[in-house]
Amino acid sequence: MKKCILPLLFAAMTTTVFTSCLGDGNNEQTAQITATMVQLRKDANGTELTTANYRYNINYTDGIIDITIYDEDSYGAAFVLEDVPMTYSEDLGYTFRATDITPTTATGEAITDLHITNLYGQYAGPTLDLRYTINGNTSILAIPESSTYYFTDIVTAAADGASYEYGESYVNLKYRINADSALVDMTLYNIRFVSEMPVMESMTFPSIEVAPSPSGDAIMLTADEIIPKISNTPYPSYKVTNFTGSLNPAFSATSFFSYENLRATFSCMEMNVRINADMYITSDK
Amino acid sequence: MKIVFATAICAAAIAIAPQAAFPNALPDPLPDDWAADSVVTLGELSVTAIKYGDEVANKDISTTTIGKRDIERMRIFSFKDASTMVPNLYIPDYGSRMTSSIYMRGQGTRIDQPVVGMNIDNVPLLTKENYDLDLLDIERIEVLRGPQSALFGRNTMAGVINVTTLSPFSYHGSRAMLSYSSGNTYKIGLSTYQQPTERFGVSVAAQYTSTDGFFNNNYNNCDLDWERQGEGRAKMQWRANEDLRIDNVLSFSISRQGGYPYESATNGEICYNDTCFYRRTNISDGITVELKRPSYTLTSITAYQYLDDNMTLDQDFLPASYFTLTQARREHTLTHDIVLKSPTDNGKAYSWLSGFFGFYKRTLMDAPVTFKDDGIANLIEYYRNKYNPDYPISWESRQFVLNSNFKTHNFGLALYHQSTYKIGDFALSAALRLDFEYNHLGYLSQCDTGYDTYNAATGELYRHDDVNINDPGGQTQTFLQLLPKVSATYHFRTPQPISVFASVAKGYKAGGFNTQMFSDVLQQRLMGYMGFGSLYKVEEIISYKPETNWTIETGVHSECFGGRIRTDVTAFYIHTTDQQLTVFPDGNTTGRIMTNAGKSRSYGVEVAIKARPVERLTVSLSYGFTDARFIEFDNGKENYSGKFIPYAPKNTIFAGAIYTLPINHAWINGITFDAHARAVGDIYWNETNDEKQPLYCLPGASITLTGKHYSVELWGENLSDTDYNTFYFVSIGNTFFQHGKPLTIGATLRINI
Repeated sequence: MKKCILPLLFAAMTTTVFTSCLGDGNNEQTAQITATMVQLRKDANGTELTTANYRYNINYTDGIIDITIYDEDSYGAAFVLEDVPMTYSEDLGYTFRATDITPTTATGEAITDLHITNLYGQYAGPTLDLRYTINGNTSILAIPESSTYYFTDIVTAAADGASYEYGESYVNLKYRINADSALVDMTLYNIRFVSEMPVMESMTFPSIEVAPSPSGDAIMLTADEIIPKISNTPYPSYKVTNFTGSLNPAFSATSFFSYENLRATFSCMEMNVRINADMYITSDK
Repeated sequence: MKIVFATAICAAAIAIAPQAAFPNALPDPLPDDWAADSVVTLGELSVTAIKYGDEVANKDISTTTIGKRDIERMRIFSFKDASTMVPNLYIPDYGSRMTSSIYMRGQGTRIDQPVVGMNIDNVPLLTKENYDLDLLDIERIEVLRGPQSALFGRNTMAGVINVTTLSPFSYHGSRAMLSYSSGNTYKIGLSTYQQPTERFGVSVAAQYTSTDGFFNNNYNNCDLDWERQGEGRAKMQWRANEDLRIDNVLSFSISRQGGYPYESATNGEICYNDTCFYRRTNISDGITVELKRPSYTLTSITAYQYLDDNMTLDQDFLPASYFTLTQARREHTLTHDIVLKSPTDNGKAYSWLSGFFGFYKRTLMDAPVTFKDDGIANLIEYYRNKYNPDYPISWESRQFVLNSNFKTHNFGLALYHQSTYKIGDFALSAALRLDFEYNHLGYLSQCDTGYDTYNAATGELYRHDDVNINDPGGQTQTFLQLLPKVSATYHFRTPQPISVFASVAKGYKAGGFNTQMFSDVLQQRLMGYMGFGSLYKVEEIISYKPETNWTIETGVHSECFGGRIRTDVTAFYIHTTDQQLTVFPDGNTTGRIMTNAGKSRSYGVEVAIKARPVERLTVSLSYGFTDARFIEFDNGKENYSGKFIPYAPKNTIFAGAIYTLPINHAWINGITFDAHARAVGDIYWNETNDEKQPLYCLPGASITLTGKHYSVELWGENLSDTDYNTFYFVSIGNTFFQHGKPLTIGATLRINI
């Protein structure tokens, strides 16, 4: 449970990603979330990484969610997916889905040339993943621009095979995607991956290149050389080389986010390090 | 348990054997002066008499009473001086008067909640830092060993010490005392005890002590353990009639001392550069009212205490400027105890006692830690820069303060009852206390400093970071405890009194907040600014839980040879859960953590014998043996199960002989020769048990010339000049000891008019 609460707290601090407000006028429990989300956009031409702005109006009382999407690549103006049914379960969190939905404009007029199918989203506190298909030919997988993953283990391929496991070590990915570049800043918290290191409250690997995987279902992370930053100061002594990783935002039908994971390997201080982190660590781990 | 029962049987044999062997030997009556010291008759309005009745010696508890004669002969001005005279009671003399740790039967802690409660003239001292007071004209010290929580409540799980000062109803006249001894120590005391009317008595007592101490600071060749302290007391006692008694005691004490003669284990030197001192001012007033009615006796004890103290330490105890700590506190305490009980001499089989206790304590404390040049360089900059030599930091100033302010509200309420039923020679007793305590800590941690980061390659300033910490917070704890005690006593029908008892009781020590940990929290927050370390979770490290124990105890009180030999033998077994222990955090940290160490057990034996084998010769022996070990204690890094509990001695021994030679002279009535020895040990200093103080012995002696109105005493303590340690600790990875006092000789003049 502690591991569930911590990401919520962390996300509460990262309000630049999600801003929400909760209202209970007329005894209705409602919330609004606005977010810039990173999209794996796959069509016949391939997969690309883009960003789009989303606004979620959640009505917990009625169990529905309105999703407003402003994505220039999909449509020239904002469109709204209204009254998407939403349910809650302990294993999956809030899930919302619609097999076939016709978007409307902001003023409520139906957009007949835009057709959304296979909409499925999962929402747990501040973290929200969404996938849908546009006009039957473009699939979108959207994840938050900033996401937190909890380490399941950190393995160093040292002579002693040291393994560092911290109950509350976590990593945050903050994407910076624009027309010229697609980068992510990876910040690791309460981390230590070689014995010569003290436990670091935070360490940032800046400007890791990101790109869609060949299958279009994952995000690949690569960097030949990284000078980590600790408290905004470069630490050349912890230079990281041969960084490769992947983020797999796959959905689970049994436990929310448990299959959304981050895997990375790199070299640091002449040690090979492998880190595994999950979006959400189930209690049995 | 087998050991305990076997010991109990042996103990009973020791106590009863002389009686059986020589039932009619030496039937001479006891001399009055010795009887006054050995037979405890509490006719006064003392808290012991209120709760246990006038005669405690043959009850279901293990007691040691030190009377006025022994108190003067052993020059006892504070209960600390009585250490080892009571079996298994050890009160080490180290640090300052603030560090009054008490160890009893393997239990005790260095900081925060004590295991032994203390009452001075019925005023219950709720703060351990108040315990170490010098008092003039102590009439009696009663030490009730074993858990007294059913009647006395919190922090009495190992016992209670009750100190009673001289009453104007028991002494009439004026007294003066002048003493000079080693360490340029002199003590002056003046007191007068008057009874203006038959029913009203008033006394005023004052004493002043000055000492240069025994240890020097090699850094500046100045005295370290010097002290100037004084105490004043006014006691008024009114016996309105046979049924109404009112006592009021107003006392004031002030102490200014250096202290902390901590010697480095590395070079054997006491050498540090920053000033250490402890200053304390106490004011207390306690009023006791007793109203007797045919069917009950009602007693009310109301007390107010004020404490204002300041401890300032060179916390590294090195000739380097690492950091200093100040802990300045003001505390107000109000206590009220109401006891309603059946008449003591009603001749009925059933007797009862019920009571209500309440207290409120408010504490304000400032605890700044000042980081100085060496601390900044070695504990912060070096630590940070060794991991990033390419971008080293430099602190913006060579001194800064990590400040913590605390405000504590603490109150407690308790209801208790005891029923005793006598069936022939059996007395069965059961007591139960419901004890509730509320404790709230409000804190504000602050630091305002900053540091520069440079590019080592260019030497240019890379960036500047401010460190601004302003963390307010609060935490509340509540404790609810049921504290039972069941006992049985059997009085043998023999010419001389013999009684055996067995009891089972639960003891309770309150939880609390470890405010000393905040300097560590702040230090970690500060390192966190530079990206280092895992942050402490304040709520998890500053509070500690209550400690409870169950004690099974059996003992024998006996007198034989017309009371010429009095023997008390006790065997006990204690099972303690959540034992509160002090642990030094690992790494470059400054604080000490109080942790609940899991489980421990302690068993042992106590023997106290006082005998008068021939006329004018008194021999006394007190021996306490304790085997106290952890059953479960894993601090996350090491498992200490099976290890001895640190700081608590395995053996305490006191042996003494006093012989008085009468002299028929106009000026001299007699010469008294006293020889005694105290022994303590082994004492393990840490949980790993790899450092210890072996058993050591301190012989002492005195010769006293006594006249009608005066006495002159020449005395010496630690005559063998034994070198021993009373304290051990580790700070910033350095080990320190404090040596005990060396050979001390002195002379004391007493005048009684």
